[in-house]
Amino acid sequence: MKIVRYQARVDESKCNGDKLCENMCPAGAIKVIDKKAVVDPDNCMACLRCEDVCPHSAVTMEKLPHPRFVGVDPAEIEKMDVTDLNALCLEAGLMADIPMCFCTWTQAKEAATAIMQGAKTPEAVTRKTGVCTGCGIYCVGSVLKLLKAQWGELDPPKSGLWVDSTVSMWDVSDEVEEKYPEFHLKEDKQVLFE
Amino acid sequence: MIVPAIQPPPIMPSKYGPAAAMRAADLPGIGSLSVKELFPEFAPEMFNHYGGDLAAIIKATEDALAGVDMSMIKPGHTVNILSCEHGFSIFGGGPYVEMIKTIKRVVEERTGCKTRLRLAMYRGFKEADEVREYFGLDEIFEGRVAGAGPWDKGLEIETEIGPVYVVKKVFDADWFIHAYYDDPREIYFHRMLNRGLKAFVMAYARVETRSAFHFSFLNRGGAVLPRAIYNSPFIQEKHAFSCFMRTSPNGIIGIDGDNDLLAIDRRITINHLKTFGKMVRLIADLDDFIAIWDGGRWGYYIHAGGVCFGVVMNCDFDAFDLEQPAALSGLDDLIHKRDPEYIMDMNRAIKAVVINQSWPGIVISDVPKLAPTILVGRQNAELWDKDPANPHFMDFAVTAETLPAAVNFAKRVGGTEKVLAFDGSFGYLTLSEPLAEEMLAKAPAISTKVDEHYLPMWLAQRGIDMAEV
Repeated sequence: MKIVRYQARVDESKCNGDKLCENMCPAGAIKVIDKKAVVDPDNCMACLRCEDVCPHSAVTMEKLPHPRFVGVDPAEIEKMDVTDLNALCLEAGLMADIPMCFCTWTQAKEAATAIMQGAKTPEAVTRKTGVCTGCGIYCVGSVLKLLKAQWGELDPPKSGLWVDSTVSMWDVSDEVEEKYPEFHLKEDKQVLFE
Repeated sequence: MIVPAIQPPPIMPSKYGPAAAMRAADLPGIGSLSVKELFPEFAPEMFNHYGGDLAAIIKATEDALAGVDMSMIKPGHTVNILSCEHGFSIFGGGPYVEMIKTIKRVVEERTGCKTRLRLAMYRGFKEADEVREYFGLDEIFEGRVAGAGPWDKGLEIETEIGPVYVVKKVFDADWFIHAYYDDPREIYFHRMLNRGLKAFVMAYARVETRSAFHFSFLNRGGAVLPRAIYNSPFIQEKHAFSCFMRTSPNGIIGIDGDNDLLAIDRRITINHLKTFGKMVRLIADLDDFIAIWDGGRWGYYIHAGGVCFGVVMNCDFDAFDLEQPAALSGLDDLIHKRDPEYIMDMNRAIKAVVINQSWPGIVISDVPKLAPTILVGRQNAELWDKDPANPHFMDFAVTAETLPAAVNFAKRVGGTEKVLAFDGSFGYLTLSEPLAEEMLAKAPAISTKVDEHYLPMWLAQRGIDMAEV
């Protein structure tokens, strides 16, 4: 679960509407409207990217009087068909109960639920679960794999926020496995599925 | 035993980390222990403390480049010198910058081409700007400097395991020079398999590729990703040569230049197994100590005697032993669910962690679960409270006003007087006398055990003959 303790605030006097913040927001929570960045308070995850990327120091982070919690209601996850949920996770090379985001400790089944309930982009998954708003780096591949497993080919945004890249150990051919015995690829796969 | 503490490298001012009112080296009861006293058999170093002779680095770089073929670089070609974030914190960054400057000078003299510098960073959008300003890189490269990060425009390249994305700006030249360093960070991830190629799957790569390395492979098999990228036609056609700042726990031991990166990597592997293998096994054998994070970017990557905290935290398990499947990757919980033997346990000798100075931004949720964690100063506490990578951190960590107060508290709750400061030191360890005593007592037996048991095993697992060592 994501705990949001801060919120981005834009100083309009410093903002020039260059959209650097909009292009970097993993939740789509900051958008330039009439040449000024506007924050959606319900979806800002305080990931700090907008504050960091802005060359004009137009964005600061304000502490919320009360933290906001983001995550899929466990009751919603319970309602899902377990077989379908597990199958989706497995197709993405994940197990349903493992954390796929270590910043928020979001389990794969939570992200899978959000996707099966209609989230079709990483940003939509982020808004439902809070994933990809911590370090922003390590879990994005898992999100992309889940989305691809459910919806097929992905349509990356022009901003370059993410690209369709989901290479994993399951893509390594037998030939490549044998080429590099010192990498123990075959044994690693057996460890996971023995 | 221990001598008055060697002053650690200064901390580069940064928006990503606080200033430090006091350094661990200034604490009462803290001094320095030379690595040479622990392991006198290690090859001598050329540079082992901040303020050392940088002329040695320049000369070593010139010598290393003398045997490198640069004939592929023709007049009119564009050439990128690639640099990465951690090099700018090793010994305060001075040696790395001198190596880069020397590469620039030699390449431009020999080829007639003007080189460009690429600063490949972790994730902060201002990291590159801070480094270029602090080290005067724009002046050195006459303005031909650009930063690169994981969300920059990607370039899809074909590899033997499928398409992956590198950062386009890093490779936007006819040739690139891989100007790197070999300190053994993240052994629990790369397992000393192709350490020299790690940048291709981290600093030079898009966020999705970095994610794949950490979360879509286990840590032995993950080595296929940087190898596949390096082997790709795209990289092979642009790679002019590589030049590495080589290290051991003693310090910087040389500069290594070669057109064949895999040859450099093999030399790194041999040296690290011989030297860091002993240092890591010694630290793994310690009974108890307090760790202080004291300067130089993210806590996991700050060194003590050349070994960074992240390695120390995960050294209960022998990461060099490739027969062990125990994983630290995004998939380790997957394995834990099946067999707890496969999980990489944390070093229970760490009894408390004092964060004096380091950058937030990397997931360290395991640290306050491992041991009481004490932040020094309110500025530190505010930074970590805001850190989105560790949203629960301040629920578990406490804050002390001063470093001495934090360390005294840590000793009390940790039940030990042994203190080890991770302040960027190579060649020396900044520590308390009781810890020095324990290390000196244990080092000879560890050295013998590594020489007779571990090293032959580690080398054989990598297809390296003992005669080559």
